Amino acid sequence: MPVPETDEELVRRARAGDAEAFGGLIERHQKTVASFLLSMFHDPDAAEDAAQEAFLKAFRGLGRFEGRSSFKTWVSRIALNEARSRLRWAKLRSWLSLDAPRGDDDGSSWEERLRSARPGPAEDEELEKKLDLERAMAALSPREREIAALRLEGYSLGEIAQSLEVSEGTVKSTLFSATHKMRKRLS
Amino acid sequence: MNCRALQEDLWSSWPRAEVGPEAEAHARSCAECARELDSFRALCARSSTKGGEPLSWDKSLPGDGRWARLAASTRKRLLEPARRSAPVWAPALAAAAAGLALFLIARPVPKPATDVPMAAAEQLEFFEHLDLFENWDAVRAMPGGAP
Repeated sequence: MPVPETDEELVRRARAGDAEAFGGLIERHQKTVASFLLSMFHDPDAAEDAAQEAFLKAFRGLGRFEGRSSFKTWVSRIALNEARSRLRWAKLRSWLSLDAPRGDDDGSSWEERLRSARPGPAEDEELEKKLDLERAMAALSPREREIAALRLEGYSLGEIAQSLEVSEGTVKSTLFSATHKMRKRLS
Repeated sequence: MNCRALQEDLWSSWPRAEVGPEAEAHARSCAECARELDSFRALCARSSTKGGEPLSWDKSLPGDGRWARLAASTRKRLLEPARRSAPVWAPALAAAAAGLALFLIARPVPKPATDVPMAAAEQLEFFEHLDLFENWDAVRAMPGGAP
């Protein structure tokens, strides 16, 4: 059985122009990136679109990747910046009334879209638990929400610190205030 | 282990309910930390799957092949020439244009230039007050006056 290539090996091959090697990095990390973006956008299509754009930007900017952090945290940083830009733009558009208002943090439409996509009752319980959690996360500041979303997608404290370019101490203290707000909201 | 150290460690391991033996021992002898530990475990339970894994979107969304489709679509776009991305610079450009328009409207308008050549001003004054020169003798007496 062949040993799977490490991210570093795939990055090295991709930098040499091997798009197939970059495809391996997409397979490995895009799902996680799109998942935490879903907690920011509350719209599966918008999250997937931003995740795709982040990976395309990473591919084009691979020459600037110095390898001081892991590929995962580097591409997560690109994705977070992409998401923040898009959210700012969406906010401005809605402020200028260019877009029709849509259901958002208070629940409504996006939750219904997700519920209608579930295949059966086995998934109901986990999805409802997740939606409860997302409603509690709506009380968090943008930074707290980013950290909580990354944590729920399995990022370590160190990976979050690298993705957000902050210290691990900052991640810990932000997580402390975030979990206390969530606890209050869920009780 | 003191209360502060226990609580910091506890919450930074969320959503995994990982509690070390030292923290467990401390909580047994401290009512406040015991309550904190219960609260932590309750939140972890609400943030995890039945199997104790963090409740990621991957675990809560139906596995309908969405990630495979996304990966395939991204791979396809890798090979396309670079496309123009969403115009995230447009708000900045709009703000700059609005700022420039405001500046042009509100800036102080400079007064028209008043530095008319002195000789022309004197001539103009002379003709405007020609009636003062009815005394043609005086006019004739002026240097370069009428003959």
